[in-house]
Amino acid sequence: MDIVITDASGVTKAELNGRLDTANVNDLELRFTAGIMPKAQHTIVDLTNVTFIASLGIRMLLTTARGLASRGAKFAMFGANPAVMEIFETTALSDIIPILQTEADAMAEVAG
Amino acid sequence: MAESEETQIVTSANALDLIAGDRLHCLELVVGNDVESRFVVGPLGLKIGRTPPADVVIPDSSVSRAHCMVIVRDDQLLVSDTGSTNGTFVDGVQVTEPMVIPVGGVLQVGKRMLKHEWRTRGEINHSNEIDRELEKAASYVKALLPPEQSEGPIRVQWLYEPSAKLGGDAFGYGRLADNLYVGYLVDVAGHGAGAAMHAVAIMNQLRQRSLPNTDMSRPEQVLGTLNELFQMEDHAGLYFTIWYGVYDVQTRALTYASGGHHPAYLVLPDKSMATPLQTRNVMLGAMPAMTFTQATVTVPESASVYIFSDGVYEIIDKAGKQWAIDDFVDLVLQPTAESESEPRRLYNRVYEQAEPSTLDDDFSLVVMTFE
Repeated sequence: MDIVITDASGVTKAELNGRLDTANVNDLELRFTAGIMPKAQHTIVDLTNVTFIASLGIRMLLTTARGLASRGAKFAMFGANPAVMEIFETTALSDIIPILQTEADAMAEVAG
Repeated sequence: MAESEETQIVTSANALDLIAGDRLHCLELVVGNDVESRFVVGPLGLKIGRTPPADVVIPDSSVSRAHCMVIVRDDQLLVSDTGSTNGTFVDGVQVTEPMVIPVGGVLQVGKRMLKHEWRTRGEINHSNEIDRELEKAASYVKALLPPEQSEGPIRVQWLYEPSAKLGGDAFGYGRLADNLYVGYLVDVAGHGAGAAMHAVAIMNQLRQRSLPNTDMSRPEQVLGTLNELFQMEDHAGLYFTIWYGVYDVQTRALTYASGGHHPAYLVLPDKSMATPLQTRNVMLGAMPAMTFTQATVTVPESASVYIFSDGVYEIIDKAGKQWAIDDFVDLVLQPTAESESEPRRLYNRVYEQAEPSTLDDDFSLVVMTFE
């Protein structure tokens, strides 16, 4: 499981790759959180190359989104494939975190 | 100067010998970040394989019957492949001749991983003590689960297999009022002690059949109250999903709600159809002041409802396919077996088809059959 965190125009962008399963979340969570939370700025997450997401992966995203919200920063995701989107629909995660189709949509969401 | 260096080396070696004398080489079978089993490598070494007479038996199709052999020589751990099909690797390097497994190194046997740890007897004893405490905790969790029911208006069979020593799943059922019966399944994100304690706290609320200002026969209210009681900020960042249903034996109406949970399935007795029972609600604890919805279905005579956790179907099979819930429903619609209970049949079929490393979540399945 790879993660690439970059910074563009005051927005943090995190790109996740691979399976976000229990084992990978255990390895990844600290890097994900440490790469995003200290900046306390709007954040978008690219899920284009995520093939699966387990409940611990959802918890990681949810915790980060809520942590940012408490500091006045927005959080949005984009690019989920149909299988990952189905998991988000089951949990109704999109009622809490905006899940958009494209990076431009996600940028517009956090900028708005 | 040369003598001085030699002396230093000898002194260092003696010191290591003393430390080594108090330490044991261990191989720890790991799943994710959890240690599933620990094996101390003694003077005779350990044979690793899929079946006895191996000393370390790993029942995994990627492991050969006699896969490899590990010995201690000059206080180092050495591994030799004994003709395995899928190979033996140390930190990613294939073993073609006896190879040292460094302390902290990972021995890969087929697709399973064993970590080399060099532990004191005190550490091992302490770890064993923790294991015993976890087993007691696991017994407590299991004691909260109700017994199966073979008689009455609702017959119930279930199977509960936590992936770690302690799981984050729990379920219950029973009479709620004169004509009303309740059934529910809770799945806390994650497993281990924290998730298990959270599941127990939720279970104990539901077992009392009472929540503040809540009509327990209305699933939407139950989920709303639980959501307020168990917000993740107040509970170590844990959220959970739930399926909760109430059945009226007079009207045969099953009223249900799911919070972040996949559907339960209403299955006809001839297994000709499985109807998903789900209402779209967020998982519980994720956000306060959410509104929850419920739905009602009429249960045909002798139909069954299958309630389960996502660990039942979130696997990768041996062909490399990531399962979705429909793959599991296909199994549900296959005939029941006379030789094993329905939950056990489904567990065995999933277990047979899954890559073992992907069986990393709790497996909880409740089958309720309505008279």
